Amino acid sequence: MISTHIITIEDLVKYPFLPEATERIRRLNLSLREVLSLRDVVERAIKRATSRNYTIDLTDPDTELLSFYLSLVLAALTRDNVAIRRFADIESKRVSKFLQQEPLDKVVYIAKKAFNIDVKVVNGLIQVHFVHYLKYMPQGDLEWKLVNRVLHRGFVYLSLRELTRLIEEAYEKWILSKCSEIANSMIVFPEEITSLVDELRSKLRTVSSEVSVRRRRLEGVVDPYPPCIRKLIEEAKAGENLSHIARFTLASFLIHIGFSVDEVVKYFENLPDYDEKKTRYQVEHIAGLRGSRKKYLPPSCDYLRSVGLCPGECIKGIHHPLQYYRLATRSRASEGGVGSEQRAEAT
Amino acid sequence: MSRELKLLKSLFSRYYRYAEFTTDFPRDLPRREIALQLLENEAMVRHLSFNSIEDLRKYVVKNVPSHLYYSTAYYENPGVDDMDQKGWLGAELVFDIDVDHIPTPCKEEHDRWICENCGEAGRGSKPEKCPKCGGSKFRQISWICDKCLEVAREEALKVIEVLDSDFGVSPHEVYICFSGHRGFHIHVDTDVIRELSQDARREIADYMRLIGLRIDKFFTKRGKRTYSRLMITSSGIPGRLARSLYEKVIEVGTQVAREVELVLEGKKETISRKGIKLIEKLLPEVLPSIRCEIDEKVLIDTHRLIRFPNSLHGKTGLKVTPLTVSELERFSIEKAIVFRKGSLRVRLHDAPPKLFDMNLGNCVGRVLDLPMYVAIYLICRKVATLEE
Ligand SMILES: [Zn+2]
Ligand SMILES: [Zn+2]
Repeated sequence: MISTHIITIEDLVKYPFLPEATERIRRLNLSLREVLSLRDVVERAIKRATSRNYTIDLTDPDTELLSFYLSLVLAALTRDNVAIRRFADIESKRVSKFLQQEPLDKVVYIAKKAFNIDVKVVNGLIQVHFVHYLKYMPQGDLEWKLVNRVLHRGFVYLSLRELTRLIEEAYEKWILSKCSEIANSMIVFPEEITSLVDELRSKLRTVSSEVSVRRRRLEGVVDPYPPCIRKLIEEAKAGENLSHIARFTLASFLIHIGFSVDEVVKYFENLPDYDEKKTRYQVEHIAGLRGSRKKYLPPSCDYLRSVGLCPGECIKGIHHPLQYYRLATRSRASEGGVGSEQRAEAT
Repeated sequence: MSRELKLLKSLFSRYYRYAEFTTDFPRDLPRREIALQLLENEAMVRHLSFNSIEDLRKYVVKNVPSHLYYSTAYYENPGVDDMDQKGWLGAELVFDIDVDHIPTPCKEEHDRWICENCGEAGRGSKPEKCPKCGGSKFRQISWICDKCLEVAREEALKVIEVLDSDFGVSPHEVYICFSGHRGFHIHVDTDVIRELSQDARREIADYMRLIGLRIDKFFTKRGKRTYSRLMITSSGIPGRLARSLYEKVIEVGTQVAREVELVLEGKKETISRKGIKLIEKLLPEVLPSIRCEIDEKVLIDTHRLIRFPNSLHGKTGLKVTPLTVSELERFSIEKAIVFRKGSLRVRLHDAPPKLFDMNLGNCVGRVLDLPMYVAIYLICRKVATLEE
């Protein structure tokens, strides 16, 4: 059912999270077992979940919609955070590309209808209520920090481009919450789904399955790292979508304490949008092996604090992550290196 | 129990029998954790919950608290002591203004520190290290004066103004309290606020304190020209910046200053590099007047305990006093006095130069008949003892 002239059937395929799309699927009245018997749907579900280059067939809305919902169920049942985050990343980037082609009124409609974002357009200017802005804003980017925005009577001014970015983040969060809803539901799933779930999991994890020995070695020496870096390592390991500045901080820190480019690249392999070539290129840049030939320092504590990357657990007087590292390694050596080294290994 | 403690206990208990507890602030009492510190032995009692104000009253009349708190959070099971089992449902947003965190010049006049190691003493706030022995443990003796409260009140009014003009939270939607000691609490408890995450609250704290502010984000480059959003008529931070900068810039009097003036007035759209340089130079001077000195820890914490309105502050005997905005505007500490009747004979072991309207600077060591509330204040601060 199309409730308004703005949204076409094609749009439902592009934006399968719209309530109208859910409604359309519901009306097909198919059981999961029946869906699993539709070969085309199953094939496309796996493809769309794992490929950034997957082209959506706008002429066959029902197959596409079913394959989206099937891929969502399969991703959820992997119960694997790295896989789920990668799935969410692929999906949201795809939607973002579509949104960038849309006129203002459609983007506004989608923001409101799908994610309850309080958005209004006054004299051609887009405004979003600060509560929704804060909920979906990308983290760790000074451009997005509320203090650098114009806030008027509860509303933040945004460009159309920024509104689509907000929807992208909202969609990613939507997928993650749907996945945990499905994974925690009491539904009994048909037996034959297991092999598909396994297939999807291994496809989503292909890049990260190559890791092994070295990572364990790296984990052992996490101790002298300041809390901010420790947190970034954990998040990278958990496959969270680190912001640009978070990636830069982690990479430049590791380079500065003597890691090789190869070793640093490994830290990013669980990231949802991990692309080895790109990551290597960027790390080489930070290491001063490319471009300006300048080795970049990690940002200061003040800066990290201002972009929300400082967990605020440091001892007093620390103003730079590297200073913390130097202090920590120095005190370790002086208190008898062997003992503390062993303790660090054990964790 | 000391005689002083006995006296406080009976006075506080009698007060709580008739204390004005209301059902609209805090809202939904049964969903709040109540916590208190017992007057008798300073023990902290947490994870209490009460279905009605009368139940709470009965409890505190019997178990007299020196400090009474409620959780800014709403819980499914507020009385459970396991935080994971409590079932967090949301939390108020509380802006805490405490003069303790704000440097005021008068602190030199009424505050002192004593080195715990060598006994060296000095005026004002404690130093990082003792100038005599290099020790770092101090006893800080802090008092407040009218000037301190004035500063805190100005900060509170600033917060209320920003909430209204920027966040769209009108003064009728906020609850204001004098904390009973050194500052004010501003509570926002609307439906949309309640569910804000810690990250979102951190953004709000940074907004208030101007952390991460980058002035260049308010200049847009298009081709060779740079357009400015800093106009005295602008909303939000750029507007406040422009208005404060304007006051400074008209005093400068150079040609560049004249250009910046026009930009700030909105009569000139683009700004030159020199103009931007001048603004960057003046910026540090205007930031303090725009920044709100709030305690970010309180704002970010979604499990905070905060003083119960109309409870007593155990360090002063003053009332945690709910205020309207216009009451805040004319606030003086007299409004928080509870124990008005009678007087007490006490020996003063220490005192601020001035307390309420009394000059006490030369009275340390003496025995005096003091109005009840002055004596209680000093007894609460543990610097006065009862005399026959
Ligand atoms: Zn000393
Ligand atoms: Zn003062």
